[in-house]
Amino acid sequence: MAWVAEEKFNGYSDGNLAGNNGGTGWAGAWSNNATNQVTVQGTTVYEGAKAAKTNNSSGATDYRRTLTSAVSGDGNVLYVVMSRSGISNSGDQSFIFRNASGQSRCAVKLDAAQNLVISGSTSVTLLSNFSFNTKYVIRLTLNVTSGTITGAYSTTAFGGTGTFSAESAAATMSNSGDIDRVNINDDQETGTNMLDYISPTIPFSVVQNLTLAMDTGSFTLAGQDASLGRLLTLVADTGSYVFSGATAMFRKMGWVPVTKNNVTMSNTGKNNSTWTPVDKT
Amino acid sequence: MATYNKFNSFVEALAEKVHNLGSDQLKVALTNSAPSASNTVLANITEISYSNLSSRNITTSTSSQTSGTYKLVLSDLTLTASGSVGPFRYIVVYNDTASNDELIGWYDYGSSVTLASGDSFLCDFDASGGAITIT
Repeated sequence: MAWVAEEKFNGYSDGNLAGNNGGTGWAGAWSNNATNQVTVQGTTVYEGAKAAKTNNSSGATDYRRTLTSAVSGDGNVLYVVMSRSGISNSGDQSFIFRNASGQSRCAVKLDAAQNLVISGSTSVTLLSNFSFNTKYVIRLTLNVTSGTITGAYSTTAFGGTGTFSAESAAATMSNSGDIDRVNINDDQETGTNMLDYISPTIPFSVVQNLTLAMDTGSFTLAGQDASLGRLLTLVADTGSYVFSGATAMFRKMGWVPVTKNNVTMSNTGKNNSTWTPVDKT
Repeated sequence: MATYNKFNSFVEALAEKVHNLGSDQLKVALTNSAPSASNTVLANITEISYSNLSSRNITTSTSSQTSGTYKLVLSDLTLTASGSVGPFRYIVVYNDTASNDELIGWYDYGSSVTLASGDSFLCDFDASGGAITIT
């Protein structure tokens, strides 16, 4: 059975919480298991007109209320708002979940070390060094079958817009059995320790924190083969010049034997030049 | 991861000194209408109203080359709404310094988004691979 119970304290008169039977999902009224009282008041509230003041300077308080249907299974989510005005007597302010035998299974605390913790047989700190008088909206996930509890917190005002811290690691529950009741437990402390808004409904709007992971845009410059100017080739043919010897005329000048009366002339020139005899001197 | 979609004109603009990716102010524009690769300038994009939105300016982390590969690294940009913003689906990156707000690239979130006051939208650029590489 999932968590369905709701208690906002708004319809109660100021004074002793015991005997008040409002809200939904409860089998009966609040009962006082200690001498000192948890009181209804309208001075320090989270939502609406009233809230519970859980501490009493005269001594420890312990109030109980039983659920209509025990909470079982895993994944049971509820919200509770707590604040603390100081630490005067080294005491814890606790909201405790118990089984039908009254044994504690787990709790959420604003403890004496000024830590917001969830605990069972093990403890996990949701917030170290919490701020006094800050109203912490605590989201609890009760895994009754698995025997663990996880939590997250926010300081967002009722009806506002905000976010929760990251979900905590799991603390191990104590004992066993379905959750049958809750206890408001506070040690002897001065000031005002407040508890308000026990509900399965988130008291504010959660913002969207969206992320778009953007891929890389790649551009590739493809180098094209480039022609580096025109390469002109002139294949020069061999220039041939043929030298052919021109006909040359050679003329020999000289004496030629002359016979006195007979002149025999022979042509010594290539061009058949005619010799002209001359008298010998 | 959202795929980078190119505007065809970007490469020519880059080659013709329209963009100085190292110093120009890049910006995101939001639209609920799918951009086209043929879009060239911001005027081609049907933008939403930005009256409830924080700054859309993108910070350039690095603009450099190594061994001939250029990489533009952009810082992540968180857009925060102070009222209703949207709906929008597409995120366009453009050059706000360029004469005509020339377009660079765009991404598809995949579905339309409307931001309420306090909501944020993180543009998570790839810090390692870069927003743009040119090889």
